[in-house]
Amino acid sequence: MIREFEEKFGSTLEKKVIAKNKVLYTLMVRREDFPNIINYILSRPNTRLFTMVGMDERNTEEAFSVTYWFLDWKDNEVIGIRLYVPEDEPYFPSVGAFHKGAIWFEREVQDLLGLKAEGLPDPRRLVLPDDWPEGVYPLREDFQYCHSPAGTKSYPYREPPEDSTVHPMGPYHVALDEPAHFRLFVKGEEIVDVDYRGFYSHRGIEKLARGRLNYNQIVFIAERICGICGFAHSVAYAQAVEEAAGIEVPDRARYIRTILLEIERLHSHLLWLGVAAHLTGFDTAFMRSWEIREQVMELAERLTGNRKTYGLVLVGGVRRDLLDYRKSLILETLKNLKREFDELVDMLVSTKSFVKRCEGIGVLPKEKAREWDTAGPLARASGIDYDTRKGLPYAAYDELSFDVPVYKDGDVLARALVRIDEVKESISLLEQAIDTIPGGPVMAEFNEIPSWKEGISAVEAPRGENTHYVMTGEVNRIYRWRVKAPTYNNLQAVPDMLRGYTIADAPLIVASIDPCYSCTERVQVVDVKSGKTKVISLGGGIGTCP
Amino acid sequence: MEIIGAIIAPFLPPLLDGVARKVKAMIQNRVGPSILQTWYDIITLLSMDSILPTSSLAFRLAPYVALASALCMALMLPYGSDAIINFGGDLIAFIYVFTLFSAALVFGALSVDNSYSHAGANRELTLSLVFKPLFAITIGIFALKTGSLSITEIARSISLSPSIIGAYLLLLYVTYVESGFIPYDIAEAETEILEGPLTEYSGRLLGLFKWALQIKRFAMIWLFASFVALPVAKGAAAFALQLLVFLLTYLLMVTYESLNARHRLDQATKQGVKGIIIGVIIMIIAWLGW
Amino acid sequence: MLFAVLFTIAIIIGLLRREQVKAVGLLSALASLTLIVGAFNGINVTYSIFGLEFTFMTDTLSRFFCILVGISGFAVSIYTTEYMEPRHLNLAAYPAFILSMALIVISRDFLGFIIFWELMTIASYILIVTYYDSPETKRASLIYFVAMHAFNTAPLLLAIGAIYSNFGTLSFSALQGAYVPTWVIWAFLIGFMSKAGIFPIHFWLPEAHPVAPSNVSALLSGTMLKMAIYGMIRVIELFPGSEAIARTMVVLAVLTIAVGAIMALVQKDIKRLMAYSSVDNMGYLFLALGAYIMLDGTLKKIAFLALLLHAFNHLVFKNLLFMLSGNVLHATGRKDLELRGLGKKMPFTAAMMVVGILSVSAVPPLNGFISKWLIYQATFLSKDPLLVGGGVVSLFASALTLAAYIKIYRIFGGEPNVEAHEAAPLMLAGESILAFLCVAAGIFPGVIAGLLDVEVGNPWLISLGGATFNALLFAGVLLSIILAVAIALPTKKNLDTPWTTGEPAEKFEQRPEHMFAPVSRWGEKLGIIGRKIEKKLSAFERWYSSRDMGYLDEMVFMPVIRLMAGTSYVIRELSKNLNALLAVTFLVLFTIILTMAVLVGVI
Repeated sequence: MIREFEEKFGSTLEKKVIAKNKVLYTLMVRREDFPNIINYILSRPNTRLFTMVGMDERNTEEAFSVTYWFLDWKDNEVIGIRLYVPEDEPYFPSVGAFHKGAIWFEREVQDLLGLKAEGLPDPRRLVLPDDWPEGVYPLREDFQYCHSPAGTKSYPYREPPEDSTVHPMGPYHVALDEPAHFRLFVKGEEIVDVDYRGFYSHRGIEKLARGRLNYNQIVFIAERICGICGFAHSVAYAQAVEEAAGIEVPDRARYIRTILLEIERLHSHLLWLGVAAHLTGFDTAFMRSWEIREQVMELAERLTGNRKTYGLVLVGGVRRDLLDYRKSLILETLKNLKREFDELVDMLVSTKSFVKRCEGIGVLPKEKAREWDTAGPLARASGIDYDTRKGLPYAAYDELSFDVPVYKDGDVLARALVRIDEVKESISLLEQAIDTIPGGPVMAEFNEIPSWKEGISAVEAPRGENTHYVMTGEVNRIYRWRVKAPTYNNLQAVPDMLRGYTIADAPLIVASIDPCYSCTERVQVVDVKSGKTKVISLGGGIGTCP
Repeated sequence: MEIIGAIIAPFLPPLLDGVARKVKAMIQNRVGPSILQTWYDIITLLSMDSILPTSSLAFRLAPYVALASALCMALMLPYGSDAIINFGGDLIAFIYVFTLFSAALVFGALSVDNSYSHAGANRELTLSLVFKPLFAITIGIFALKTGSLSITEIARSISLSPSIIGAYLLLLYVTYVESGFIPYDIAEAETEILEGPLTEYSGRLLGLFKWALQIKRFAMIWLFASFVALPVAKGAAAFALQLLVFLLTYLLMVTYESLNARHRLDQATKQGVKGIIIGVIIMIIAWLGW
Repeated sequence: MLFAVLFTIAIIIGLLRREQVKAVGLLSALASLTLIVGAFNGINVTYSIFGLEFTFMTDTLSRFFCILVGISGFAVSIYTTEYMEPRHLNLAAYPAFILSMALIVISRDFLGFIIFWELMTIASYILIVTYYDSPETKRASLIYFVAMHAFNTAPLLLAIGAIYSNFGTLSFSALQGAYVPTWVIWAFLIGFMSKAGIFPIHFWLPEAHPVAPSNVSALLSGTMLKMAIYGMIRVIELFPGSEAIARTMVVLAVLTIAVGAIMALVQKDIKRLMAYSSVDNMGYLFLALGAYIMLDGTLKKIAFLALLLHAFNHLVFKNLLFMLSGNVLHATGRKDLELRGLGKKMPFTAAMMVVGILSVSAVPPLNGFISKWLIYQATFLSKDPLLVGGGVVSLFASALTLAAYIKIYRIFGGEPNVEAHEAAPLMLAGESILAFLCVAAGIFPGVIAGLLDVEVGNPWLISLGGATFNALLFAGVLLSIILAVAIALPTKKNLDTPWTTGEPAEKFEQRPEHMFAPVSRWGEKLGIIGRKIEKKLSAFERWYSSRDMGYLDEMVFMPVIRLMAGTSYVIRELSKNLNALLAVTFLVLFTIILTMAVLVGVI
């Protein structure tokens, strides 16, 4: 992809090579070419919008920058297109106008940096809370991170279409694990349209990391972005920094990372199976599935010391080694797991009432899935053959053999089957990894990390691709850290999946994308009633708060 | 006999629900709550004040009417050979007291402006629109065969025949549905629509409703048990047999419930329509003399 | 016949002073009371006018129906004093309407019967066109007029004419037990069925009843339809050989029950919904009547009691419901189901509406349950598959009725979206009489049965041949449980707002037309089928009128066509002036009667 792109557009762009397959192009002149370039990239068969980063580079480049990163998952290449946006004219042409998957990225950049995308279809606020005033942009360099100005509370919800009424699902709803507001417009039981409002758990992590924490402290913050898939975040972050700094991670560390990533995938998918069964009223499967999951949690505790937040990754390797006698523990647990999991799947598939609830529900056709750039089991259930472990191999995955399950139906049942198959693949991957794990050090030796270097890396979390972008800064601190979780893209596809189905199906459809709202969202916590703000301080840092 | 019935009708159902929870827990390899847990829950609810989302009188009155009608349903049935309160021991009256119960639930739900309560009321009424005719067909088959609409009379003159067996199976199905077990607990108590008609109820009023729902379930299954026990025994023996059949049926239904997911409303109505067609066929068989 | 005098005075006042609503209303109420008293005392008079003898006498059946007419007349007249808007002749037509109904039930010969029948139709027509300036009224009144005369008066006239030509007399006592040709009974059946709104001649009912003012709708739905039942019962009592029509009657009745209940479910207008519900209830009455003909022994008695008790109950709660809809219309100017929050300003209306809804859905301990229960006894125990099927359909329709009326209840809940005020005290008074009767007849059904000289045991029981329902005991137990629990566990008033899961939500409700979606679809399909039939019929008419006539046909038919065209032109011209149209109608009717009298040979 990069070669063909270079032939077509290379002359007008400034090129910068990030890593072996990753190239960054900056558009300095001829901004009107921008939509053509993006269109060209997106029109290729196996590309997707990887992530979009807005940066305040006024200190170094006298302007803001907006970078669109694209991935070609068959050629394993990443290409980035950067546009500089001056402060006095903070506008740039919107990609969301023709590619739906970019809409949230542009809304976020508008909220946090104040850069407006021209032609953006839905210019409402995405991230900031209702009563945040206009004109105050948290991610800008001249913003005090503990500053929380007051405003008036209001949010412009869409009007329900003719003849329908509003059926709000959330923020407080039994079926939702975390707060999210799905405003269902219904006619009786049938859903006609949906308006989504999220970002209730936005915590301002990116601002937190900017200039206050060193590289290794951020690894632990990254792990706490999510309550289920945190390890994937910390690995992605570490990989991004390692790429920026040119650090080579030792083999054994890569294998250990792989093992723990797969263990995390196991526990996440088992959790999902239980929740899906619970939402349809099938509590027996819920209890059984979580009972099986307990073995995985105990295994994780024996290996890392924690059930969920493993805390094992550092930039350059892992913190602790896997002791040899643990290997037999892992193999035995896997044997039990395989057997019990097969029984559970038999029970689920043979319960007709459960299968009938899942079949044909929440269908997402393949073209829509590509439009929204969905990832993970959601995309694979709709027929898109993309898995980051094969599309942009990392850790030890290019040395292990495994299949990627792809189904065509695109309904809830297909997503369940994808996840079930993935559990089986994970078990096989774990067995291979344990078998072939090499010896050696677990931590790389390196000197200081150079500043102003960029790195971008992705990891296949249980829910899809997790993309981290890093721009290193001075004094051993990060300049910009951009996190994109898979649910960020997947949630945008939910309104399309909900239309035409009933209220009874809505919780199940929302749960079928395995939403992880905490991953997706990252503002400050403002207590509206008292006007007080909560500040997360992590021991020593630049700047104090009044 | 009647005194025993008058005591167990209001006070046994929550205990039975506790047993049901314990059975479910055992199936799911858990310890589960204690048998008296449902009683503890109801007593706690009854001791708390309710918060009212509307000043409508119907909202406040509905739980009382529901409890009273559920109790009347239970008291109308025979315990041993006679009902406690003999309004006439008639099945049609039973169906209509049940309708009073549903009406109370729905009136309470519709007096609040809450999309979830309305969804629940809608589901409750739609289900009763489909399953009451099925109940009527079942009773019609019994009436066609035995010439009576009173439970004790039917029990006296019943004789085995293909259509009667079919009618019993239909009665079992209707009892299962109207007792509100999963897969048919679509209207009340639900995670999809936040408990439907009960969503705006709290405290004392909620406790009354929950109690009323338990008593209704008890009455429906006791009806089925009477149909099975009364033709074969009399007096105190009949009561013992009723109790036995009741407990057996209850446990079987609870076990079946834990192995199933909930139906959607349209799936349940399709099942109901299929049931009605089967019922009509059985009725034709009954008329032809078999 | 004091009541007749009082009614006539009211008519005259209505004619002379077109504004005296209160006087006319009060006089009508007084007259209705006198009617009830007179019915109890028994009436037996004979008048001779122009050589025609009119006999008025009450027997058990007539007495019962007199009391029915009297009760509804009384309650509705009290309501009318505050409600009615005097317009052209309607103030005179109102007492004429009630008077004609009373005279129908105490006439002892077919001549009086048909004369007062036609008077009733005319009076009701005048009342229906009260709001003659609205296009729906014009359309509805035309349908009503044509349908009534084509399907109701014409068959009746034919049948009565045939009876006279066969037997030479029209008096009931002389005709008792006479053998009439079967087609005469069929003609009577068609005539009375159309008047009652039985499928397939039910289409006029939902058009005519909603456009009339609410007090008139109450009388139309509640009382006038019962006259058809009365007529049918009379015919069956007089002439043997009614077994021939019984099965058809039951089949059509069952169809009516189903169609009425399903169509009621999908309506968006309160009065149309109630009109379809009347259609449904007429189905029950004819089902009971059919059962009465077909059954024997105790079941026959049960069916008879069911029939008359349901006539009473339906009269009471339908009058109540229509008057309540009049309250709503009067207060808000609207009668659609989009209203909300009326319960706050109209608490009495809301409370009585609940009583009405529970009665029409046959929920114990209210009166509707007793008569429905008797119908089920009669049908389920009959061992006849047609009747048992009818019973099952009745139960289904009962559930549908509850669902349909729940939609009406919704106008009282939620936040108000219109200005409203409670109805005037006299209006409430008229309604509360009927609401009280709903409850009383539910708890003491034996009293009503006693009016029919049917022995049912104690007044609070219904006990016939093995089937018992102890209404008082049930009501007592229910009430005592409610009170006991309410006293032991009372509720304090802690008000708050409904829970919208955390974010504000507007239009946070389910719209009535989206409720019961799986079942409403059948109703919509029925409506579509009805409209398709209507289109096909009018298509046929258009095709026919587009054909070119051959020369020979032209010679034969053209004069007739020209005559008809000329007549329709005249009528159109006259219809521009309503009074003239009414005058002409009276004239035509008078001519018909005169012609008939001449043909009959009286004059």
